[in-house]
Amino acid sequence: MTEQTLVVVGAGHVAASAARALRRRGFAGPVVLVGDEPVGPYQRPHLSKERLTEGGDDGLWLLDPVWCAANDVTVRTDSPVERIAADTASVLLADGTAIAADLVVLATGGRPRRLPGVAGERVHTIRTLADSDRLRERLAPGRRIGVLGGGFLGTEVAAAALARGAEVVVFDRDPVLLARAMGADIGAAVTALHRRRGVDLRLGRAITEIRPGAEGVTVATDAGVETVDDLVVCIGIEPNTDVAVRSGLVVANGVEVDAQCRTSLPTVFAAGDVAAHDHPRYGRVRVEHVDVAQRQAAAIAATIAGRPSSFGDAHWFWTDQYDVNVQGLGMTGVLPSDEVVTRGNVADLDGTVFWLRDGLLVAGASIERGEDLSVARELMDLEIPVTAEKLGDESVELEELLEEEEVPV
Amino acid sequence: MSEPTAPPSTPGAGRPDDGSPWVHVAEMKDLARRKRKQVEVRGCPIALFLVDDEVFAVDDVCIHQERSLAKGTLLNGQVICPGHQWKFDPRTGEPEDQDGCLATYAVQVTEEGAVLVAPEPVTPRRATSNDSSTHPAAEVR
Repeated sequence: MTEQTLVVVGAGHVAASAARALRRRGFAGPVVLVGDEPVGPYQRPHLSKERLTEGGDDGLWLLDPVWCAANDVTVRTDSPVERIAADTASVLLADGTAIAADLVVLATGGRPRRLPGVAGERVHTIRTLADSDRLRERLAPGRRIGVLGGGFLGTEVAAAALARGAEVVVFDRDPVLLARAMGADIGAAVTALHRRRGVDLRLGRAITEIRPGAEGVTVATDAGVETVDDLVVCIGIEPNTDVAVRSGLVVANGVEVDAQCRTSLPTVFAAGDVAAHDHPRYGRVRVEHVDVAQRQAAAIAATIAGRPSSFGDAHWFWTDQYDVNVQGLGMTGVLPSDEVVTRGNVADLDGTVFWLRDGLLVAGASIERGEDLSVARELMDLEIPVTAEKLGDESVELEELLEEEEVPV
Repeated sequence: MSEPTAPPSTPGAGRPDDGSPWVHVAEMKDLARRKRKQVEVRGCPIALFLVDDEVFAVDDVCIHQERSLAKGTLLNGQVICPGHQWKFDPRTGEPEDQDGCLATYAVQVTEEGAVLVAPEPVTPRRATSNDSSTHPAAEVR
């Protein structure tokens, strides 16, 4: 039997993780990573953190060319894909050529959401290395930078802009930064942190008009008009489903995949920002976090290498802002009716919020307390009953709660 | 600092080759509850971990983004860094699914329960090439 060729469409985190995991698990066939950017896989989280603040490429590249050459992993850059032709086991490129592909992992990611009419030299989005490099040049002392959107990307951009000496004003219709993703308490703590550092926050006001001009971008809310030198639009992404649609895959909010990340075609998998995954805990959900993309890629690689695997971990993510580390675990599963328990002091940037349901831990979010989430993951995975009293009591070590696990029958 | 009054009672913990004196850094009872402790040996922060009644010593400072591992979590014999959930084996200093390594130090425990650490590492610290904050994808079970 000849060896199978695996092609990853999209040369980002999924591609790099899949290539490494396939080789670690002994997949023997050629692996080809096809991307439309001029560079190979890189750390996308750097684009709003290290790369944006300092430039430089320390730790930026995900794959070492020497390792790729030694492991028959080929990276094809500047190669937009037209569609997957599963019937002929090939991937068709936009330039009319085809590459053999017995198995395909679709990982086309997403593209920044834009506002109609809001474009031009002074308007930015961040998705690619080129985007980050272009924006960095604008983040300089004496410049006033507007950030539209107070989510993860917007708050990281604000911190980076401030670090480079620029003035920053953040606009969001929500009254609190990060609240939708992290809950009200951590949102409030992060909001206060940015305010203390000197970010001008214009929150809780709907934007009524944005007008890019030669001298700046004017942003109007019902509280008045603000002019900034540059505006960074950080209002989320849209999944890049064009290739999937042209390939005949089932697509709704992303490419629909099962628990093993298999699409409606048996030889085609999908992972990362583009994949609407049927998660064993949460049901169908499309998640835009790098750790999820990497774990999905690892599950796909295990399945392809002969060990069928689902991705069923609680979703985990982090953000680093200034010198403060914020993490979330299982936030996808939080319901408004869940009991909220705080450990430590979130407002003082040293605490964790837990969400409890029927005596079991559902989720946790930490500021500078990642160690709490390491234990939380274990409590969740082992379904160990916990009480609000003990979770909130700092005289109780969280690890001690693990020891209350009942002996499996 | 004190010299041991009894021979090493911890299996596998050898005396360092260069003959440097052992440094008395903690008592076993300090490790009984939390199973981890940050100590200093000649100005160098070292993390002690108690795994299956054996004490291991590695660099306290994570090779990734300089968080304190003694502040982390010890689960199933592995140390998890609070910064970005990197996992390390305290026996070898090796991270799971990443390159680089924490320095490891020889440990001995006296019959009186004094924990002694040798200042010179047994295995050296090696930097990681992955300086990003990305959490390593865990092996799929």
